[in-house]
Amino acid sequence: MAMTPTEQTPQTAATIASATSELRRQTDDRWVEVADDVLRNVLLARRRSMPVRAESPSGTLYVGEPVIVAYLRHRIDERLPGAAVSRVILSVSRDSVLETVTIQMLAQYGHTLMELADHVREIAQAVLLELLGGGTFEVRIVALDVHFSDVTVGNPHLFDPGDE
Amino acid sequence: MCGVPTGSGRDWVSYVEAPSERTTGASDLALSRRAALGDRAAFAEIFRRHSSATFRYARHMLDGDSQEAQDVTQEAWAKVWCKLPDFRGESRLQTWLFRIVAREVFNARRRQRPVAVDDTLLEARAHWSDTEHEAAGRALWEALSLALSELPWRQRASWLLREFEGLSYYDIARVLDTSSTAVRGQLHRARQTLAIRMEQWR
Repeated sequence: MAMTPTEQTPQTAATIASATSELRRQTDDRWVEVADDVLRNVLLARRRSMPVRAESPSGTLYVGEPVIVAYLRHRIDERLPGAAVSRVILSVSRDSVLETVTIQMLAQYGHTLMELADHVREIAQAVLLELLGGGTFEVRIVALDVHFSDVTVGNPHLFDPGDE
Repeated sequence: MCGVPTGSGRDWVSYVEAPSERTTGASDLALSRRAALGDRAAFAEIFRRHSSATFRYARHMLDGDSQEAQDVTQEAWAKVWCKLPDFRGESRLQTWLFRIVAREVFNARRRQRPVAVDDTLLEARAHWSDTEHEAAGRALWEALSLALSELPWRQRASWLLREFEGLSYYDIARVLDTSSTAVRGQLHRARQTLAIRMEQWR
């Protein structure tokens, strides 16, 4: 005989709440054991990448676009407390030569944008010379643009405009 | 395309830095922005915050199969790592993560057997069989787990996302690619069914 749906009694609601809490904890215990291995495997996955031509004393080699982006972000963020990189866009020619670099930045309110932009360019040029020119070969880039897309009240390394 | 690395090119960021205040103190959006730019420490922090919740979801949607849930969760997070550069903050990061995980879980389940998403194909059973009366002797959490496994796919997913993870109706709708109204209906039916099951257990 079919039972009709019932409204939850307070006792049933309390039972379900208690069971939910317990069930949640049971699943978490298993994850603690395997999480490190999973993260390690996840970070082996490779993002889509364009090769960018680099010159070294021993000859020509190619550096992946994600490597350049990661290194630019790391150096700029490390050295500029009042600004953070939000995006890096590289354009590369058919023969894998880097043509333009656009660095989109977030600035913390109160910092001088022109000064920050000069610092960003200086750091970016040093990074690109190191990565693509072996520290000795000239790296010719058509354009290195710095664009401040937004401002944060808080520290842009910790917060995003979307948080404020 | 997300794939296994071949080791070509110089890899300047081939390690995960130890967590610092710049990672543990950062918001999800700030971390996602940095991880999209290759900051592995930021990604590791995102993983630390949200991965157990996604595993919980996968495990209960895959009928308690922990190994399958682990494999699917790993596949999903590999896609998260690859797709982060495309995330523009149009939704909360948690919602975006669950959307990817939910899709992977659904595909994994579909590979095993057809999924009856339509509630009318899996009506909640009206009474307990003799075998099911044995469930009354189980622990409380096991009884709930069994009851959850009986729910149709969308009801189960909606309930897990709401009750385990606290997502709003709007966010659940985005995860499951449906409407808030539909989510409300799914949750109502799920709660009714679970109330019957747990009342019987009591």
